[in-house]
Amino acid sequence: MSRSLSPAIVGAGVVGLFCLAVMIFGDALSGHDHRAIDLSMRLAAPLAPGHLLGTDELGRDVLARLLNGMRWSVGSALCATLIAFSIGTTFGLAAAHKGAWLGGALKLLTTFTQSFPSFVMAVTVIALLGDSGFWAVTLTLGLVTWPVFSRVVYAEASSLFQREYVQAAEMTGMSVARLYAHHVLPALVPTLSVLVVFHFAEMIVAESALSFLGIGAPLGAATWGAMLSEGRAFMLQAPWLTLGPAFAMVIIIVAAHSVGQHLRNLTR
Amino acid sequence: MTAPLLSIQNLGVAYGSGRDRRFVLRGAGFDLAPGQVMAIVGESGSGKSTLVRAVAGLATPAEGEILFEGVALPPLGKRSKTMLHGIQMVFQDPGASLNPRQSIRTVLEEPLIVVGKLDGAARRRRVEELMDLVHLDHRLLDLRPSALSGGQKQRVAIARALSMEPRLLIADEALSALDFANQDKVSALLLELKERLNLAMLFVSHDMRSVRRMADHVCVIEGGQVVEQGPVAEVLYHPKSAYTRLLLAAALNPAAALADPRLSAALEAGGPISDEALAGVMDIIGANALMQEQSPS
Repeated sequence: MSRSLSPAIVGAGVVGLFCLAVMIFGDALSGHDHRAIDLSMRLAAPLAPGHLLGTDELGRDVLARLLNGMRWSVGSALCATLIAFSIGTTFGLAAAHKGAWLGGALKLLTTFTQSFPSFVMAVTVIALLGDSGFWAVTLTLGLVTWPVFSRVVYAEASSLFQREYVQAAEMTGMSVARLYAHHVLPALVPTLSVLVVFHFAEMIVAESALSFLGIGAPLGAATWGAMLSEGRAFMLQAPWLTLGPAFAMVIIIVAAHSVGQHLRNLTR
Repeated sequence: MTAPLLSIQNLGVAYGSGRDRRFVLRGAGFDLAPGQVMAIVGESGSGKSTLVRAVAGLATPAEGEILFEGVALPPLGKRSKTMLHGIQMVFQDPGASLNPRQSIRTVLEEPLIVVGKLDGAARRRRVEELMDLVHLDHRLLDLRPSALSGGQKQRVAIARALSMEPRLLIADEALSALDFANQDKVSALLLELKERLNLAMLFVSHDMRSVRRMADHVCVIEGGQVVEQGPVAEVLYHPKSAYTRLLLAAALNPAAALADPRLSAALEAGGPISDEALAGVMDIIGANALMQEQSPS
């Protein structure tokens, strides 16, 4: 197998570095405040003086709002993925290590939670909470999607505990912590790294969909979902309002999938 | 008489629960003295691996008792360090028994770290001694298992087991994944180590040639029951049970085994021997054709 970097993975790396810069510097990169209203510049087309991607119906800079939206969407998706990964992996590992009853309970719980589409569950939970905002959305997405990780980790770790090298290690009287650190977790890294990247892409879509429906970001926040929703009213008059966030989402998701695919190929 | 190192009394192991509960081993019992080798023979699925896995702590007994140095062995997680260090195992598949992500040095050093008696320099010296013990070149230490041959991997697995200085070594079909040349070399190594270190051994094998070469005693298992046991010369040359005779016939004289009415009945009707069991007998016929030349008769 060739381990050289494909153009797709180089592109994904560039997108990743750009995301990092945006996470650090935010809308300052655009030279505008994403909340600054300028009614004299309403619906200015892209490449208008001082506004590379144009302005919206209140004269706010679209690039500044896109960058701020990236900070929100990517940040929320990263944190939700981290929450789902941490809870799911912990439960999966605990159940796999001789936890027959815990394994059974976990299977029951994940079957129950996965019988409902996670997006529908997220909408229901946020509606029940009656609160929206970064942490409400992020925690909800993390808490409804962790069974994905627990199922995979439980299945993989259970099969690892049947491997002869793990049994030989157990027979030396090795501590459970050392057994996990030296024999179980390193073997899970390839699967988990692919799963994390694909999950992150899913969380980007889920967060944007919630904002699009108006139950994610608070009113007025510049998120990609909210920008898509607001831009619908000006679809013919100012298509850049919807095309901007749509392209941004596509680029991030394609980049994440390229990374996931590359990791999958590397570990095969 | 020497006190037994290992004493198995009325051992039973069952899998499944409720109505699906099924005994795969029942009423097994024997004693093993220090420095002695007990061969466990039988067809595939007869329960011989289950027996040794119960001794190793990898299967939980449903009934009976296993005494090691006079003390009842609890499940693996509850065993004392003395018990854990006293019993080590060499598995069937040398490829699967070494962590593919670790170098040979790490594989051999890790048990020494767990035991915690040696400092860094002493551990490195001990790792080299272990390599010498199993006749492996020190240059292999920095390689991953994937760079080693099957025979070399099995020697590393033996060295890892010996790093704990066990009194009882379990070899669960430790030769069966190797080619004939390596089978001879590794069985010669095990025999040499047994003499040098006064190791007791539970030696699970299909190969009657290795059994005759290595074992002091033989225990024959059929369908989860011990059907015959005794000194190797008595069991191999004067077998009492029909099943032992069938196993030996299959190993020593495949043609005669195929002519055996019991085996032909099984071949025709799936008869008194299960399909799985039949596969075991056929294994022996294929693997031990060479025995025909060395038959004691």
